[in-house]
Amino acid sequence: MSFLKNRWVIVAFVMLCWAIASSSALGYYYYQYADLIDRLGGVPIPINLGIDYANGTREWFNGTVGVTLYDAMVRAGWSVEAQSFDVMGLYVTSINGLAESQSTSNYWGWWTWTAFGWSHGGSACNKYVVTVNETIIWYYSYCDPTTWVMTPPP
Amino acid sequence: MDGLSNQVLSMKTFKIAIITTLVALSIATNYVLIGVHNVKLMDFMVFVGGFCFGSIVGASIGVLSWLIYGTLNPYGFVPQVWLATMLAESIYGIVGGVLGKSLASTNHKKQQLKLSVFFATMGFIPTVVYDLITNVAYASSFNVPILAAVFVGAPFTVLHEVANAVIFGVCSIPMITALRKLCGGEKRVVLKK
Repeated sequence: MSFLKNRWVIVAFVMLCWAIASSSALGYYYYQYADLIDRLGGVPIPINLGIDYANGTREWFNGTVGVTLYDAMVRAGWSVEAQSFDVMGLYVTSINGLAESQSTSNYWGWWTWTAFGWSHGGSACNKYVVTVNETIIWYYSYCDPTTWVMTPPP
Repeated sequence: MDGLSNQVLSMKTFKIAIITTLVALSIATNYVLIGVHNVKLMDFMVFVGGFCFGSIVGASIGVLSWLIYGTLNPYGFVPQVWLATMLAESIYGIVGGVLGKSLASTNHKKQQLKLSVFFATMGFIPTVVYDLITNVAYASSFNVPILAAVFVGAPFTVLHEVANAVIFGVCSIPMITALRKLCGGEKRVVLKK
């Protein structure tokens, strides 16, 4: 086995093993996640849902129920316009008649309350499964056009 | 009977004794480690048997071990799963046989670490195939979706694969060297010092 003289072949074998193990772990957690979502389907969870129009108006809809964040928004009676990006989920362009604006660089983003303050939501609202009594706010944030950093809610 | 025939006969007897010992060790260690799920020495014994005495002997050790252990299995007996494990276990023997042939001229003193890592990966990869076959057999027997069986069983399979990698990596060279000494230069018991 002359290939054993080449250390990169051994490294490749080790990496293959690592890839198989990590893919198995990925498959396991994805399956558990998908299974959990299936089981939770139709079981709404209460959250504290808020909206801030960045003009001094902030409304809270505490006790709103939903499975995903989008579900909760619809159940709260909001008028939501969104663009679908297939598996990536929905991109919200307008809430209750207030649409995003490129000229003022204001866009809708959702934030969840953590021990460190407001934390930006990392996924599309229809892909995010809410947790019991979670506090989530939609904020009409100013977005820096050069860095694309969104201003967090006050 | 001439001297050569006697020598051949005693070599055959010796080989049968070694195979029987390896089968007995496989089964005994499996019972000893019954409480430690998916950490077993059986796969390693089958691999070593194949490495030292060829693929057919290695595969036979695997099949024979499961023939007995599978029938007297404390966790129960399911014919389909038993057949699948019996056949899948022979993979270790076949892989061992192929490697034994290929590594005949390898000087293990000079590249012990490399060989150990290589043996570890050779413990890992056949275990992936073994687990896949047995999971599919289990899924078919119990009407479980195959993907669900494979993914839900992933923590157990990964444990099995990692445990085998460690056992193969650490124990292969000492075990093969010891068998080589025991067999006194049997052609297939290799790894030069």
